[in-house]
Amino acid sequence: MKRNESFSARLSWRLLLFISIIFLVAITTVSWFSYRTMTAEATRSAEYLRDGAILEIEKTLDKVELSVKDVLWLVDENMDNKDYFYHITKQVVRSNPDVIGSAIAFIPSYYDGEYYFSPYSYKDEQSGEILSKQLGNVDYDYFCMDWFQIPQLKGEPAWSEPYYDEGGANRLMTTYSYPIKDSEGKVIAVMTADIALDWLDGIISEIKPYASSQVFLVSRCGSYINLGYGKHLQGETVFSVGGLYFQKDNPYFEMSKALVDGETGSRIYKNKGESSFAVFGPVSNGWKIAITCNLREVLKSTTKMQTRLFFIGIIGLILLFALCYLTIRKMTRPLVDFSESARSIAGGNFNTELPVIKENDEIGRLRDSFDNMQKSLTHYIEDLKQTTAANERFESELNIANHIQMAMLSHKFPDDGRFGIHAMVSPAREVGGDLYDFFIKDGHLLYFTVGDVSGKGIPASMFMAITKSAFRFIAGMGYKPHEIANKINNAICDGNETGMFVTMFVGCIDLDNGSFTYCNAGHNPIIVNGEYLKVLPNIAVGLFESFPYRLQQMQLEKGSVIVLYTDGVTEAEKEDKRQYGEALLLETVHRHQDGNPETMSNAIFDSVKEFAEGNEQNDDITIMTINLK
Amino acid sequence: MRKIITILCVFFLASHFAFAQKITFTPQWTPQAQFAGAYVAYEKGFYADEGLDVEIRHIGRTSTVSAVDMLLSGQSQIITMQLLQAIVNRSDGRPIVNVMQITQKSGLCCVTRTPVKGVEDLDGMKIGRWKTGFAELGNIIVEKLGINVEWIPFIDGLSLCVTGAVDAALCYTFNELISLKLALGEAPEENIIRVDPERMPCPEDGLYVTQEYYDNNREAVDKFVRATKRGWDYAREHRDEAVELSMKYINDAHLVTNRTHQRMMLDEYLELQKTLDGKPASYESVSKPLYNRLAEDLMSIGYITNLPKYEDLVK
Repeated sequence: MKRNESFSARLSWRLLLFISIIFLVAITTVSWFSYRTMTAEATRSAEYLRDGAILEIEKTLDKVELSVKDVLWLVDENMDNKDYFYHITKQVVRSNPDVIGSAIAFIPSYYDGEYYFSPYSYKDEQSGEILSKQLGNVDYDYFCMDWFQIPQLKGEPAWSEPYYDEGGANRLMTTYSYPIKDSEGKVIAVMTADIALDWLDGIISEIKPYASSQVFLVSRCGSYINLGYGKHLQGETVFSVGGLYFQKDNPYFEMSKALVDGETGSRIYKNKGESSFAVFGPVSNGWKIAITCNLREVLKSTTKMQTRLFFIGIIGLILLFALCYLTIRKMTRPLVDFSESARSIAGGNFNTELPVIKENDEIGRLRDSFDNMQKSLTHYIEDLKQTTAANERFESELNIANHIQMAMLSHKFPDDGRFGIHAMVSPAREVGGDLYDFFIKDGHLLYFTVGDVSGKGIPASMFMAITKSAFRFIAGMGYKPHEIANKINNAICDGNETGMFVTMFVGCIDLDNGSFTYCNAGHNPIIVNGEYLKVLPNIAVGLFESFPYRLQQMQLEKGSVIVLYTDGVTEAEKEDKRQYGEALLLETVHRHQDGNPETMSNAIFDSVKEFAEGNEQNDDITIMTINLK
Repeated sequence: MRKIITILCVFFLASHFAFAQKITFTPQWTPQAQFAGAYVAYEKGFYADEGLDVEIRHIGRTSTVSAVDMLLSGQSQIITMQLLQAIVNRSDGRPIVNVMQITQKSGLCCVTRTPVKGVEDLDGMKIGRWKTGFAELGNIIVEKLGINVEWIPFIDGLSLCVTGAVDAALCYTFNELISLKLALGEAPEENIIRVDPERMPCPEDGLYVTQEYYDNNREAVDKFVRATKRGWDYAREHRDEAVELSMKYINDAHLVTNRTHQRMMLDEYLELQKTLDGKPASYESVSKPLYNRLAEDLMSIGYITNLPKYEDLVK
């Protein structure tokens, strides 16, 4: 069932949909650009902080490096005064408050009898005094330790991996080591400065671009340098946390790899479902620093603005929809009235008032068209009424004509023990052009005829009436069949301006002796005893005046069956134009050869109808059957 | 009657604890999941179930006193040691005996800074190796192939590798290699030379006691071995728990590591316990032919001068 839709609602919805799409595209574009701008801005800001932190860290590291480098000349000058080295290391600790220990560790047995010669000065945590001692011993075999070994092997200064001061307050430390070489360039000792990394907290805690931002310092070997909010990361490396090593496809892994490889850059990544970005870069001593920021926090203000914008937009769309709906409804109100007027007109009220439209716009023009249509419709219906009344009259007259025509044909079929006869006619229209007739003259002569007037309808029916009357009159005078045909021909040809003609078969059977005389005037050959009768090729009646019709004769026996028909039988068509034909007719006749005349006529008619399969009958059908007993 | 039963119970329990044999066990290195079997055996009470009073005492990270020193000085009664080291010690006249073979394959490998195709490529390289030993197999391979390398002793090879102070370093697949992977995020196979267990079969870690202790405390040794095997079998089936127990010892020693590392270590170490045909663990002693082959290899590179009898070392 069709829904009762409102034009104004439909138009408003479409308008709303269109504007919503534009709104969504606009808000998405704005969001995207805001996201890009805000992220870029936040990244720049974090990069600035990162670079600042790196500078701060390097400044401290540089000071430590300088503390060592500044006294190297003293070491060189006092190689023969090894006890002075205690004084030098003390000087290093004293000169830089960040340095909490310093050593000059020599290679094994550089000085005779001193396998572990390694003067070391350190700041005593309790007293604050600077104390000195020999660093190396059996339990502290420093030759294989990183801080000694790496500068020794590489011949260049190095910063150690951060480590925990086992002897002291378990502070996180790192050591700067500088290789001291002899005149041949061979490393003979490594001078160190140990610093605790407490000061890093101060630098790191200042880096707080966002509340949830985190700062990570990572050592050369990928270990998190344990700081402030990174206690849980103690002992962890970048790739050990959460088993990241096994998640090579994780973008976080790629970022961590870039970090550890010493790249400077930034990445946006997703971790535990949260989008974040990180900026990272290397420090001069091999460490790396990374600052992470949660994107949700970065975009907080933008998101807030977008949410507001979104809700304002939604409210605007609702108001717009309401406004559109009401305006369009008001503008299309006349259309609703028109609809009601049209319904009323359709119901037969042609005088229905049309709504009044003052504006000369599309709706005004529509009203004019409606008005014209209403007037035309009124005239048309009036004409139609008259035509219908005329048709009804004509139809009634045709019915009467049909009755008259049928009444002209004999419907009483005598059966006097010598012969049986039956005939039927089925016109294609109300009245037809086929005819049949029969009568007995002088008690033993059976005259009969079947004819078919050219054309159909009323002209043919009138011609048929004339022909039939002529037959009854002429045959009643006792003429032979060819004389009957001849006289009817002459009668019809006289004044036949319409050019109509009749095919006829005229026959006469002497019931006393079975003599059968006949004349075929252009009609279909009749069937006698199951075979088509061979007839002379006479022409139809009404074509040429004084045509010499010829008589034919044959002898009939008792039990002979004669079937006459018009071409409406053999030319009956199926829908595909195939015709009933003479062969099928003959077959039907054979099948009912032993029946009475009525059975034969009905069987042929039924067979024709069955063959036509409901296809419209396009010619009159007439069948006559006679049998001799 | 109840009094008598109570007294008997108290006496029984007291005697049980009084006579529980005290054993100090010292692994060859600082606490890590490499020794998870012993930690599990202790923490789950498998040693106590055997009536042993075990103390696990580790060596210091920078200490020059090794586990063998602890064993020979009587500070420890049972230690872990690698088979090749044991052969060297026995050859040097230290009366130690193997009472259990823990791993069947060697976890030794060599990580290089530049890609290598084989051991031959190590020629002329400066290679780091542990100061405390564990390098016998590496030496055998290098010496056999006649490769000239400069050995650099280290305590922790990771920094040496990362900073490029050495060209290569000997590593254990269950420890340093993992450190490297977790430090750099990758350890390309073309930079690793592994010991092929088919071509160079070399059972590694085992439990060792002195000959004297073995002779006098046979039952206690058997109990310790049984409980340790039970510990390893448990660790194999409960790896997360075994790692947690290992972390306890690691934290007590103030060592810096992480669970991922220890878990990877345990997994890899359990791989080394597998037999060559893939069985989880057999704890099977080294065969005499393999023992002889390894001892001869050691002799050929001058690590030992006499071949200790198989029967003397392997029990």
